[in-house]
Amino acid sequence: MVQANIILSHVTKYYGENPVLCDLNFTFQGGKSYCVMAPSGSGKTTLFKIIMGLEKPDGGAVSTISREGVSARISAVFQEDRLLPGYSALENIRFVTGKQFSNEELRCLLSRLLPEDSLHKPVSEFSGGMKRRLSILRALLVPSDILLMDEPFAGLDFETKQAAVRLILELRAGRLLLLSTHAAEDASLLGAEIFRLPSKR
Amino acid sequence: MHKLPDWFKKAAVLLFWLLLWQISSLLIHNRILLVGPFETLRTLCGQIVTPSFWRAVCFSAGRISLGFMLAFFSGLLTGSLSYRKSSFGSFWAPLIQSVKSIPVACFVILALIWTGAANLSIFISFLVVYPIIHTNTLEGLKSTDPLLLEMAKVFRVPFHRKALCIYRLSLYPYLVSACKTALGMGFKSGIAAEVIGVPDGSIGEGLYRAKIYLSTPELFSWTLAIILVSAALEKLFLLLLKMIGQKGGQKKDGTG
Repeated sequence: MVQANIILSHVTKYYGENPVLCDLNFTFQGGKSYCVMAPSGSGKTTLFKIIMGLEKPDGGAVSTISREGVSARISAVFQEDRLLPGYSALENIRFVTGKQFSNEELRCLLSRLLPEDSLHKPVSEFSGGMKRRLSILRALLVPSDILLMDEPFAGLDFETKQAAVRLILELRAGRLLLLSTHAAEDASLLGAEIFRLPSKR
Repeated sequence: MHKLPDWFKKAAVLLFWLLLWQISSLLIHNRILLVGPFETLRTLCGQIVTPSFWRAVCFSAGRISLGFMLAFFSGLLTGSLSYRKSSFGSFWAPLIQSVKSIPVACFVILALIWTGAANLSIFISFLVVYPIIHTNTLEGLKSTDPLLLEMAKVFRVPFHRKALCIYRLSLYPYLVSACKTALGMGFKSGIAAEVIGVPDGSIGEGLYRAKIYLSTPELFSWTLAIILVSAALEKLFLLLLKMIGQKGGQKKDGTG
């Protein structure tokens, strides 16, 4: 793992005529945790997509290059779960991790967030909450330098949210964590700094 | 009320049409115009005990299947390339459109000039099947969920795993539907080409002879043979496609 910062320099993004991100400047420092907070539709997901390289800013630039000059590897919990629907939980994890973990290790980790008997079922049969938990685990298990989590606790009840938080704290392993949320309490649960997206106007 | 089983309904429908066919042939009462199902079956039974029948079936089915397989893999390749490189897709599209619109008879005559009659059905079944597979491969790949592709991009999933777990599953239903259509069409056109080119020892030659001698029972029995062989090959090919195309030919805990 390399210590990578995310540097936003004058990042601007428009959807048509509407500004979503306006001249955003900030440095998310490697190894730290941040909760990105803003009302719905304020550009949190857009910002995450730009950092992931899925969208290009209309102005400015984003750098995720480490001090060693290496491009940082990113793993993410997307706003939609983006799981392979016909595949089991184990297969979904294997899809991104390859053969890095043994089946036993994976089963052990998965059973902390999912019922044991669901591990071989196709995820299309999962509830919304189960899919969410699986996508959190998938992001945590992929070797990466930056963790981006777009509203990872949406749809989770109190108990499972606590379990997910524990797992994030345990498996984060010093990676830079950016987590978007509407709940300020998430920042204290994760020991994260709050970053409020500036108003568009 | 007790519900009739599905097979029973299908058998009843088939029986109805066979009866109608038999009654029509009895009413027309002319062996040149129409022969009934019993006579067709009797003629076929007489034919299948002769080695020349099986030689003709193997000759035609083998060549048409070869043309089909060549078209299948070529269509898969160029369809994938067109998806991957839109410049290639634009370059290749007029060729596909031409092959689709030019009448098969024109190709038959051209093939007779180029290659002679022996390999005519390979060429013709290839030309009929290829654009169908190409187009469906392209459409299948275009239907891939972009959100999953983005996910794979962010996680830097290697191409072979993306192909196996994302593209293959989007492609599979398109390929099944394409193969169902293409196999039947490939057979029909391949045999039609043989009737024009009359290669020695082919089903087409058998049909041509039936036409010359006005032997309607032979014509019907060859037709029945073509339907049966085409259906058997379709089942076999779709089974093979299911084995490799559907999720399931993989290890229990892995993605292969």
